[in-house]
Amino acid sequence: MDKDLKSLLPLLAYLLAIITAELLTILINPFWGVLCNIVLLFVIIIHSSRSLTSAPNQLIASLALVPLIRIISLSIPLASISQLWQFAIIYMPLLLVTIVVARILNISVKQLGISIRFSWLQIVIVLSGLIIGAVEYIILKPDPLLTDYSWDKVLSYSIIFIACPGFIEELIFRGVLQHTAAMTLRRWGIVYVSIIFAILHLGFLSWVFVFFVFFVSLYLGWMAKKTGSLFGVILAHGLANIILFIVMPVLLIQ
Amino acid sequence: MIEYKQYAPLLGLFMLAILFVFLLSTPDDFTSRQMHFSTQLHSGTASDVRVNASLELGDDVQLQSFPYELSDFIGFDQSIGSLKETLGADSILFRGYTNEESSQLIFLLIVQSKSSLSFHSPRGCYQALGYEIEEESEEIIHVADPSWTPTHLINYEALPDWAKQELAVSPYGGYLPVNKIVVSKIEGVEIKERRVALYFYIKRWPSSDTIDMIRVSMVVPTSGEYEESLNVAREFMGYTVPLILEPYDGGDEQILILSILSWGVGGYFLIILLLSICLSLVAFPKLFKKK
Repeated sequence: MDKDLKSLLPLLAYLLAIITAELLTILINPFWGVLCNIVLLFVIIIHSSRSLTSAPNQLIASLALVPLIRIISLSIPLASISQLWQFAIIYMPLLLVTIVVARILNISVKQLGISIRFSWLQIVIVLSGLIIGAVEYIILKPDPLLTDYSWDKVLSYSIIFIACPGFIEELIFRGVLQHTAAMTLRRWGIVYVSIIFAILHLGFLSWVFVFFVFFVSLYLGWMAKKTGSLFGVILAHGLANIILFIVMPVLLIQ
Repeated sequence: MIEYKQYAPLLGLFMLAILFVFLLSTPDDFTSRQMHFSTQLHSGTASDVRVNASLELGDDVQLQSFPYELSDFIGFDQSIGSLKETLGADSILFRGYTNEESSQLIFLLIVQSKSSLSFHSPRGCYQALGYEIEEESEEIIHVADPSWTPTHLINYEALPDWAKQELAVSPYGGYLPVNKIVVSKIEGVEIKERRVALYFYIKRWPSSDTIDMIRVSMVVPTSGEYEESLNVAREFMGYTVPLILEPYDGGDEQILILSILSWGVGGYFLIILLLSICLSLVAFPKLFKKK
């Protein structure tokens, strides 16, 4: 077998394993989903610990973040915690793990895209979050997250949406994973990461939404690469969630 | 190997965001006990009202303690049969109530289901029982209780004339929208039975998927107007609401930044300290740069 092709097989296998874990979580039982993710996490750690010098092994090591997202979000007992604080509690350990993975893989803050490089393109990227959020609302039509639209509640949820799904998911997907995937898969790295990102949205039970998320992820990945900064995509991601869960539901209800 | 301190700004920025959210929260924002009165099962409406429970509907013992006497209505237990399974309910109260004045029999159904997905709305239930839906709309009920003030009401303009007249004379109690459904059982071309039901939901979304439904129904004449019966059902539902719910009055709860600042110098010091910790993490690599 061609050596390049052989090195791609594990990546394909991990992709299938991530899909399986997500389907188990959604269709069978979250317990089996968590169990599958724990097994996957162990396999990833053992597989990548053999050597972290090769690019494919670095990508595999960074894939550990994907099952961790599910293990943390599904296993922390949050029933008595409000939705607002559930975000903070889930994403704090994810941030710490992301930092540990970035350090182990020797990815600098600059390589992660943590820099504010002002350009008009960044403004366009941020504003594209408005369209992304509106389209997502048309597809999903979720219930409004807020019933009390006081300024403090709207501001609190907006900050959480930018800091948690915005900042930390972009740091994981467009920062760590896109960096390691690009080293192995070159331009296909963005596609590989976008497939994983879309798979993690299967829980919304809408194929249209999953496809849309895939294309949004491609767009955000490409923009992060082009600007060399996560600044625009973090704000676009946060803004899209604000439009999806706060602005659009109340606009249409009124 | 890259040093950990390079990543400190990431942690600092995140903690700064969480600190802002913390300072903007009220003590009630940390827990998931919020409840809302709503006419919709799966979505929110502009007229949803935040409420507190005065009766724990998930506790069968408390549920059965619901009064048998409501104003001049006297209640008696009804056979539940397979109603619990049919509705997908986890706890249930089913009673009949009558009063001498109207001599009409009113059925009160209170159910709680741990999952809104497995719960069957009156629309689906009546259809499954062979009824045809004749009419669906919203009705306004008057909650005759001093704890419900005119501020606990839907938009004044949306109130029906009778409610506006009541308010002009005596602003007592609140007004809430509930669902109305009129169904008939038809055999051939003949209407055998006609029912009118008023119902609403109590939701805990997004923190919990548990849903409560309170339904008041009665048999009405098979043809013509049913306004008289509807008035009785509306009046009866107005008596049940304050026994189950009380209005949420969150006006006294201050956001934490105001509470902390009210401590005086200590409060200011604490906020400056918390901000300084986050900002020093953001600036950590620059503060401790190797020469």
